[in-house]
Amino acid sequence: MTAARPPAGPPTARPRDVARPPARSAGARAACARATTFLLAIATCAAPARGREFEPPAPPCEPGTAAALDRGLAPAAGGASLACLAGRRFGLAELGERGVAAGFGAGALRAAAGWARSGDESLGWDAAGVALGVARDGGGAALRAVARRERAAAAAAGTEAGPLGAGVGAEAGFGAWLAPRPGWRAWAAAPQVWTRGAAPPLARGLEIGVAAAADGLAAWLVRRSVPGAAGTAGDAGAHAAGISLEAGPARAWLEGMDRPARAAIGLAARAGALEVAARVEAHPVLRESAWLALTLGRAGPP
Amino acid sequence: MRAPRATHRPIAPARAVALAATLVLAIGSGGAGSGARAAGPPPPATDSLPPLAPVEPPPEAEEGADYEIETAEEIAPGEIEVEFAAGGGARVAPRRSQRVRFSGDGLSGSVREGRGDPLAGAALDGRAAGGDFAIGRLAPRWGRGLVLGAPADPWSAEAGDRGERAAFRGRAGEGALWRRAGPLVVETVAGRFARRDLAGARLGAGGLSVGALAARGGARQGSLAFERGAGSAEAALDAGGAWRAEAGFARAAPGAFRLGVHARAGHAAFRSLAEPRRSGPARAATVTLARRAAGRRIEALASAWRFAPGAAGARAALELEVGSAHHGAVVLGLEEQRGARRAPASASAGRGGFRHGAWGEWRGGAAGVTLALRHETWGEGRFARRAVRTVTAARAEIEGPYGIRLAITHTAWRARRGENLYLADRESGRWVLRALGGAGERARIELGAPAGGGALRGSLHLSPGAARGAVRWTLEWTRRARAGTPRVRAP
Repeated sequence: MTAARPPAGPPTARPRDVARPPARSAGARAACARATTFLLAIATCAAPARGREFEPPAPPCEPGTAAALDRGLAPAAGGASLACLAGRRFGLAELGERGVAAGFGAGALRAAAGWARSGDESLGWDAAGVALGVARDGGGAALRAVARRERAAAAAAGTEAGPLGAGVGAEAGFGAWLAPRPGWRAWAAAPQVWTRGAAPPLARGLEIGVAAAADGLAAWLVRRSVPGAAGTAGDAGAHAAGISLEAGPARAWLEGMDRPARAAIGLAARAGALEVAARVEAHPVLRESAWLALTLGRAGPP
Repeated sequence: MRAPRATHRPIAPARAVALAATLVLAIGSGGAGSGARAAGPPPPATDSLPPLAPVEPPPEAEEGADYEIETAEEIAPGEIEVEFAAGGGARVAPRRSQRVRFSGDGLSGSVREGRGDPLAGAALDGRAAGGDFAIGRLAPRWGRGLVLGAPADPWSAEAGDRGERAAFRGRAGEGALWRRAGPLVVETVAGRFARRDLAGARLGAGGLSVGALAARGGARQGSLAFERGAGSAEAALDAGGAWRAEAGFARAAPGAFRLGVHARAGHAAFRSLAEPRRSGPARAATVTLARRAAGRRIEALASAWRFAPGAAGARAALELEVGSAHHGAVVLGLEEQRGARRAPASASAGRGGFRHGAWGEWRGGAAGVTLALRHETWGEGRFARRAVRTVTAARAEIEGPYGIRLAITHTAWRARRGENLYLADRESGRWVLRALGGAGERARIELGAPAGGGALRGSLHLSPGAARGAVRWTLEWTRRARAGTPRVRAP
């Protein structure tokens, strides 16, 4: 769950408040002050916030309930699961986020639904997501959709209404993963094949990745295209690489990302049907961001 | 780049004939020892989804415009196929088309109708007067294509849309063709090619053939071709004395490799009467090396050509494929390009200069899901630095119950101004090469299912981030039925 994950995103994507200033209301002055602070923070790091409400604190190669909502990567295992997500970006209370994701699988069918609340009343938005797909041990694919509503825009009078209403937007996309042989996995995700209404907080492009694992050690490579950067010279794709180590019920992973160069570390531990995962991402300019997930249900990643 | 100069020193016809004969003899001796089969590689399955990789349009394609080409899918004898297709979009004019194809005993044909459909028209094939005839769209190939049926690219020996074995039905011209095979090959053709009325005939025996093509107004071209085993050669001469000669062969090489060599020489001013835009370079030399073994494929190509003084190009490429589709196959490739890939006068000449390219593709399938990923980058610096074009693509195919298939293809690209980029879409009996530029993304969602005794296929084309007018859709329904039991004809 990530409301406005910082400068991790592509250089051309803009946070929601940059694209559309908050509507004036009774607390407009305070809201403007907070927005200005946020804008300055974003401008300082020259890269935008990420707007992935259901992004799980897990390596990007792992399918799961939250990953199905975030990128269409449906979990291999069936059954029911419930995940609670929470996070805070750059250590700012105004950029906190929380959400819940529920998943269910029967046979090869996989379904997930979730709700998330990002940011404070002046900057934030509510989001609801659904995903529907198929998955088995060797692969899976799902369609996912998220609808968002800006709380400030919806509350303000006189705000220009889009085709779905004031401050309301929707996006839909798909994801697929495949494990052609044990230890190997490839995946692709295009979360915003279709958008309508208010622009999403982050323009997300095509993501492709490959991961290999053996004896508890895994490594992955990810490439994400950057949409809407016409005229930019050179290859503006974003890349990430990481390794993870699994020992008994615990896992730890380390990620490195570019644009801008930064790193993240994650930890996860499982006890029975309960799993706790946390991820902290450092930023070259701003303070750290942290995410936490509590999952009840199916076993860990296949 | 300068346009090819029209001034040239005409060669004496006797000298041209002597040169051609030398080439023919050289190829004859080379091909005889190779023991290779005369038949080329089988055409690709055109019913499958187009490749993720960008494709190159033929030289006659208008720059910056989509190009459509018909697939050469055959139907079984005695079958009739009807197809109804429609397409449109928020800001795209609706388009409807119908196609009927049939294959009977001694007669087969297709009729495609639709307003604004560039492939609309009829084609009829059959047997008459002891030979085979074709009426309608024609894409014949004589010899190595110097006069009729040239390949699209300077480094290619085979034309994918010319000749009988081609995977696509090209549009070289319209008219009628009659051909009789056997010890004495006779072929006549008459029609309109490249806005010219042309007529020609070819006679062949024992692998040697002589042909002549004449246009209304007096322009003439002659062809002398020889084919033996996996070797072939052709020399062509026009009325002005400009000539071209090309020879090539393929043979087994050490290490289970297969070696292919072809070379061309001639005047820069030579232009094919039937397909002037495919006249290609005046001089070219290409060497290919390929090896296909279980789970491994390696192909290498080195080619250099010159259209005219100051308009030359070269290309060297290496591609390696490891694995199988079931367990996942990986394709890795490297390429270097220099100079022009098209004749300078061609609309799709593209940018010259130095290019390094690298690409990687992975594809595999399991549990009813097929996934393919591809990334390629081209740069004007060494090791593809200073990128001028990057393309990332992914395709997921899902097999559902009741024969339902869902395929989603998503492509993200970034091309510098002046760089051409074409991606292929499959539509009703055709591939559509979409001209793209700048930076963007597009997704194509295709759903196929059996319906009404036939097959229903729909597609939705989305361009995230673009205007709503970028949304397009197509719907096709195809049904095949047996028209009757065909009589068995002795080969």
